[in-house]
Amino acid sequence: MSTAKVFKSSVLSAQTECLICGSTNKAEAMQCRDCAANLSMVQDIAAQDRNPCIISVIGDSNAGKTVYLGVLLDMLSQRAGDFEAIPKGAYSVDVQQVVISHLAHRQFPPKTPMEADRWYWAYYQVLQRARRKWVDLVMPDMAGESLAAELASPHTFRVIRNLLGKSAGMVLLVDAALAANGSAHPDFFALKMLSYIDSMHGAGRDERVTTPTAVVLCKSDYCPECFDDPEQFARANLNRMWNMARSRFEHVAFFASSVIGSLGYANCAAEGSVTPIPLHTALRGVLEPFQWIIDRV
Amino acid sequence: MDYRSGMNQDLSCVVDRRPPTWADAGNVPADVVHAEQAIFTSIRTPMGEGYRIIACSPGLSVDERAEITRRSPSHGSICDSDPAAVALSSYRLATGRHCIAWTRYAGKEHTARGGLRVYTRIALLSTAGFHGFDCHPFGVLDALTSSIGGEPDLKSTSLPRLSLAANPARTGTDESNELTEPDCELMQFRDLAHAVHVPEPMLVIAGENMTGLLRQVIDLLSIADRERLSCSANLYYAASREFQLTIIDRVTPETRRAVQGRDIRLIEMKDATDEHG
Repeated sequence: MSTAKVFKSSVLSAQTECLICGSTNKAEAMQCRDCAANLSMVQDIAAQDRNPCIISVIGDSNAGKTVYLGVLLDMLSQRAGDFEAIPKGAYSVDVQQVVISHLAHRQFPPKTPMEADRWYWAYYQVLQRARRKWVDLVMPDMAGESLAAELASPHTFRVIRNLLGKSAGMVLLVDAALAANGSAHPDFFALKMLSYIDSMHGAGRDERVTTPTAVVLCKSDYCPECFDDPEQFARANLNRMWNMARSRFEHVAFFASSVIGSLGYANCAAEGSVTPIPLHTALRGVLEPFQWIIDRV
Repeated sequence: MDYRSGMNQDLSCVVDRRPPTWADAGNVPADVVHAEQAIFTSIRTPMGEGYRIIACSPGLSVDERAEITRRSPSHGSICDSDPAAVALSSYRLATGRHCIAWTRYAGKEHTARGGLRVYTRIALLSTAGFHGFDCHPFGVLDALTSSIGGEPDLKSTSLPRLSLAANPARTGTDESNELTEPDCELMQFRDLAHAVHVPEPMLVIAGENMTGLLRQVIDLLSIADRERLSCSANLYYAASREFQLTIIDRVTPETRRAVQGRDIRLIEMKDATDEHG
């Protein structure tokens, strides 16, 4: 029985089966009792009679996952590039509304909480016009700290392991600005992330992970040379991650991306804090990683 | 070469990572309770940034650290937005030790994305140590704040083991307290105290005085019931924390979404009803 038919049968019964962990929940539940995944999606997906496609946006805390995802979804819903996208369920619009509203007021969106039941989930139907291909996309906005905790101690957040195991594609965001400034932290986090995914797939020495993985060098407005040759930038500044990606992943590509055109800094002398202010957006390289993954799912 | 030639006979540098046991409890003065401690908050350090355990004493196991990370509050978790607000949670870890966590705000969130930094100070006690306070988390909290003070510590990268002054005379007996005076407010507290015996988790809407309500309910419980109870006050409901009793100030759309279709009892206290109409 196809996955779509299983969804349909579970929805028609008095229970709903979670898309992520498979546990059964009451039909009226909105969040899975085990992993807190959004259950409203299950009813929406069942109505389409199509297998859903999970694309996970992953990265360290403060890398820019929420901003990237919100802007990407906003672009898709405005028919950017070759795509037409329709949000299914009002909950799917939450993340793009939060991001765009905050940026319009020259603020960054709030930090994503670690608690999975407070994550944003987006379910979109996306049409690739040139290929006349419909794809049902599920894209959760995960907290970077939760990802880090899962890397440090697997099974701390089971929803993350389940999500990555079921992902048809992954977007790994890496802070290019920090890397360009000489920090090794983005490289180490990305290396841990790829190692975790590799071990989760349990591939042998001669096998490689086949899930399409787009490594996105975000905040590249700080280091414009990223756009000239993203892979060369990664090889020079994120060499550990680059080696891991090229060795263990069959389908991997490197992209440079930027959302914020320029930043101002507000200095509060009383509190001794400096607040970055996004002055305007200048989108670059947001759609290309997504296009690359969709072409391969 | 004999490998032992370079060894120092003094082994005091060896860290004993075993959790305290009932045997340990017999070797310390009765009025002192040893506890492990940890700090869970969000700061930027060379090793990383974001919410995580930034410092802990050496007796915490890997499993305990992972469970504390999963059950501790992160950004935007405190119900009360007052910078002086305090939240409390108490729960038993899978290893059997008892975790009492005191949560407050500690300045602005360091990435300046809005909101305040949530800071949680955690004390980890053995069952014997918890009994030293009659299993009353507020007693542990009083001893903890007396020992470490009230200011957040954002600089420490490691912490010593705590020695807390046990305070068993604070509350309670081995039996549930019986109420004799007819009192509307106390009747509600007693109803709540009886309700914790039912297995389904409870979500209590209490209005402003969340920690006060939790203290009243715990006062009415027997020591055995307190030992089993996992609870929080002034923290938003989160299924991942797996608390039996969660006391919040009001119901939000996120709360409704989280509890819908689940076996959770929603109880609205009379004061909360009066405040919110």
